Amino acid sequence: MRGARQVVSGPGAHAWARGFERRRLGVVVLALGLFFGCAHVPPEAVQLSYQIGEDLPKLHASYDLLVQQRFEDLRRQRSAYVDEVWAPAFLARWIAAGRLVEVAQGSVVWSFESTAFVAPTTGKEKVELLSTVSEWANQAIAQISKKRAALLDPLDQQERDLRAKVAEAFSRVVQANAYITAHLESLQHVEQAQDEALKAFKLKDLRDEIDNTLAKVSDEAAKGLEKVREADGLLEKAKGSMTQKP
Amino acid sequence: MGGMGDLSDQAARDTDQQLADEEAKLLADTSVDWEKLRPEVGDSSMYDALEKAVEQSTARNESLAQLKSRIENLGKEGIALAKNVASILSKA
Repeated sequence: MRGARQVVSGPGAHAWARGFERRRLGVVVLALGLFFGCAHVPPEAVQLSYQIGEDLPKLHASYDLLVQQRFEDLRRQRSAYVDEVWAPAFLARWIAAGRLVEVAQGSVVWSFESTAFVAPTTGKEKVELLSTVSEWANQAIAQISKKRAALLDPLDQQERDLRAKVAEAFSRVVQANAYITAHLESLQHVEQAQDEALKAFKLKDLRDEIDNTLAKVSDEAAKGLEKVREADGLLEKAKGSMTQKP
Repeated sequence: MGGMGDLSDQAARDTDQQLADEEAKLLADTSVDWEKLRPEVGDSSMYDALEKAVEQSTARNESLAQLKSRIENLGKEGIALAKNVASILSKA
């Protein structure tokens, strides 16, 4: 702007300068109008909102722990079923189907070539016995592990999904609260700037007086409304008494 | 699995069949209605829209809070003007 003023000269220069001053006055008037028209925001409001922002992650941690403990309990129940019910029942069947007793007695061994139980090869009985028992045990362990996974994996997946959803919800609320905190803080900054400006213009006491008067008027208005309601009540009672009289 | 695995698979299927009722009860007792546990917060787009509006308002407030220093930057003339305007507004 300063540069622009320098290039304007002659009779038009004064008119331009007057226009500039008017525009500047307009901006200041508008700004002051907005500036002094805000409600009171106590520092405690900012502090409260900030504290909520601090505490929400703690609530989340607690909620998350409860979810984990709940799922751990469910996993324990299902795991106990596998160990105490399913595995013993399966082993009873597998001992029969896998012909473990006959294998132990040395009457049959497992043939990996013909994929069937056969009589042991003479001279290789011990080696074949060992490989058969080893394969039998591997099958038993694999089936029990498979059963455990079938019962526990869905719980693990549900737990992951639920924890992710809970985390997402808390994150959403924490973020929203941060916006509110920042907004309250900005309102407080405006108020502080107001106070400083009013002090500079020696008008702060006047503003406080106006604020207090407005608050008092509002309280009085509320009391007045209460009195009107009371009067309405008395009127209704009086009406009632009159209509009851013969 | 193949080989002995076929036999063990069959033994596992037979065990499942034998324990079907017990397992059904276990699943019922240990299932989670996770849709009920999931917190139902407001719609994400609603949050985005509200946050954007609040953010804009916050930015306006922060700008307004700079007013005093901006007026001071206008110089003595600006301060005198502001005092006059403030006085008029307070009487209004």
